[in-house]
Amino acid sequence: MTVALGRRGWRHALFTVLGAQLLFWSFYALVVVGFHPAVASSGHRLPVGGAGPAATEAEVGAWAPGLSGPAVLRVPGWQPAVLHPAQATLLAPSELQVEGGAWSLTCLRLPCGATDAVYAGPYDPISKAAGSERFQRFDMVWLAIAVQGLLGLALLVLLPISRFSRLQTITGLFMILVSADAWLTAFGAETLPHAWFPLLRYGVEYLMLTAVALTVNAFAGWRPRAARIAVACFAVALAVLIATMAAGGELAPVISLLDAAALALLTVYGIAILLRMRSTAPGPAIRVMTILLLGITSTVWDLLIHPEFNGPTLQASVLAPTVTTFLVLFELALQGRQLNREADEARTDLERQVLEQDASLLRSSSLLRHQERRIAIDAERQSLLRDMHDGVGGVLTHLLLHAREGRLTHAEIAEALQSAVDDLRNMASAIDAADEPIDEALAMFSERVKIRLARSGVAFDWRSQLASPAPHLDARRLLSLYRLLQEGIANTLRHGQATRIALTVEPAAGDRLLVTLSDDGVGFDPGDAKGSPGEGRGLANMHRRATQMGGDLRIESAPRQGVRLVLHLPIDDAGRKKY
Amino acid sequence: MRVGDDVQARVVIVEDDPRITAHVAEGVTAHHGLSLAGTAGSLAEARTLLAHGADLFILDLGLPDGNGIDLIAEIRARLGPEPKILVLSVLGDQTTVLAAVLAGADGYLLKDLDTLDIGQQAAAALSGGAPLSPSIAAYVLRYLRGQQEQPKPEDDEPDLSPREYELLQLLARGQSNRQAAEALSVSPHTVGDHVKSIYRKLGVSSRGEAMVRAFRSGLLRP
Repeated sequence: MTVALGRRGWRHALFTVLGAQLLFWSFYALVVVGFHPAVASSGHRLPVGGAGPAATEAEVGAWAPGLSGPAVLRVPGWQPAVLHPAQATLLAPSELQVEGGAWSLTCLRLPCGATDAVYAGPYDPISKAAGSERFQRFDMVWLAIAVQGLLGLALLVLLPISRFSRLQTITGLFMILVSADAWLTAFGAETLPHAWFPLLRYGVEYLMLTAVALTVNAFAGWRPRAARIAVACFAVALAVLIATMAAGGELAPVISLLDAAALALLTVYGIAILLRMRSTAPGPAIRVMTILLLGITSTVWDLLIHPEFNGPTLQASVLAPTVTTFLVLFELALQGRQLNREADEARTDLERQVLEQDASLLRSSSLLRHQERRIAIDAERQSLLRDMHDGVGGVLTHLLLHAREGRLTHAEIAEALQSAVDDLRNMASAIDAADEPIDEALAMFSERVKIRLARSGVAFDWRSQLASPAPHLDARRLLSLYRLLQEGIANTLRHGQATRIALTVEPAAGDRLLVTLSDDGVGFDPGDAKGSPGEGRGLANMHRRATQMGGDLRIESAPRQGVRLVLHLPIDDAGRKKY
Repeated sequence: MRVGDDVQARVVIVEDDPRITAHVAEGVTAHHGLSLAGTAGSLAEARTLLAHGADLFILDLGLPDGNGIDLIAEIRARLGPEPKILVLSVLGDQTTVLAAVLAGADGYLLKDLDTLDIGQQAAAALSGGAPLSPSIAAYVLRYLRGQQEQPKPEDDEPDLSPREYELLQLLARGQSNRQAAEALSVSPHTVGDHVKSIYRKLGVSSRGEAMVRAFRSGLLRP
């Protein structure tokens, strides 16, 4: 397994692997040597074929290592006593003198794991030795079961934090399976005595091995095909188990075969993964190799070396998962930190992108507003152009046609041209004063009209009662208003024989403006307004313009009482611009 | 210079259309307080007339050899603030009038005015009777509003005083000299002083420069 890239990488890899091994074996040695029963009970082993300890005043205890069930110990000179696994039993002297004979240990129920190794002596050291065995054979196993199970659960519960990372899910399931497998291996046989128990036990074991493969797969970057193959292997193993059991065949050789196959497959897969990761992720590959080497060395130790001096000792492979778990957690923490950093970078990146997008949106929205405004202006220009045809165009065409036929006097031509020029001025002024206060716009109109009327001997009064700033009209409505007023004034000049014209603007109820144009002329009878065709058309024109503005025109008059044009104009919100 | 029966104000007309020149000249000579000192059809001719001085210049902006705006600046540079300057305009629209006023003109005349009205308005400009027409006041106001929306350069000339601003608003709404004086509780004479101050500030202000330059370069057309 060649991992890492440069010399520095190699040194780093070696350091990691050796460090983990040192850590693991130191821990193992501490547990095994510190709690080895033989150390505490040396010199108290009953000689095979011997008689056993003599009765003394001190309390004598007996203990048989490696028991899996209760056994009866018979020692000459002592009452028979039941020995329980990993427990010291107090021996009571027998009144009955039994001469000669050897001690014996027989199972109450077979099998109980009884051997010829039995210790008897002063109760305290024997009890201590039994305690050590309990610690190594049961407490450590329970510890491993509890640690693995709880960590597995914790990983699953904390899944939302990693946003349901696949690696964390599978690792959590794997640990729970390790825990279950450890329990089934150590205690399942006694707790669940059932014909189909081996199926459960080995099923869980192979499921756990499958989980190992899946964890490695998730760790090295998930490949669905590899995952499918792993699950298929598990299904095959389970099928073989079921078939064997159903056929009533011998299970042990099948299990050995399956174990060997599974371990071989896992090893090959692990090596393949490591080779793949070597170039892309040397760091994680080293850590995986470290964990894998721990598993391999501990298994090899258990199978080939494991010294059983004076009773069973802790199997290294029991300790390995616990230590491995911590290493895996360490790895997860490292990956979590890396993920966090990447997430931070991504977030910063995202924030920057969002800011940029904001700015770009702002740009495009202001561009859009600009374009909308331009479109609105274009539309306004077009309608102004239409209005132009309406006014100046109409007048000039009319003038041209009549002038060609020579039917017009100079005065008529001058009058028509004057009205065309006036209309042009109205248009220029409407464009200039659009969106400006209406009192200013009407003041300018009055300024123009006043000079003209003064020449005709008619006084013109202009008065505004609007508060400042006054509302405004858009160009089209302003032009319509100008034309309406111009038409009204022209009518007065033509027919009214007036000496005074007054234009006033004042606020009216309901957010409206009241524009009044009144004269002191002869007036007319509104009921008989169709005096001349031109007159009728003039009034109709004025009504049309008022409607165009969304306003409402009332013409009040009576013979000899002048004419009053009363125009109500709505002012929309847009017309209430503040300065 | 007061316009009186004995002393006639000297008027120079600068206009390239002889018909309009004649029309305006007729209005000038018809008024008893005015006398025609000369007419020019181009910038070059007008410059030769400058040496003789005048009390009132009536000029067109679109001249064959240049822009009348330049002439306004030259008159102000050579003859000071005394001579009155009126610009001839077809429509009396904002762009033309404002550019002229910012360059130093006192007002404008519509080209189609009746000859009698031309004489009257010219005389009124000289006597200072109607200090600011509503339209000029409104144009100046709009211009100032537009200025307020722009960030101002630091070396800007002082703004109009609040009083002057208020007066502009009153005049723009069509109030007469006397009405504005009453509204502000000052004498009509003080109103006249305010108006002079407004013109002076507009004239010396660099704020009008951009618009005048734009107009001169043809970006804006008379």
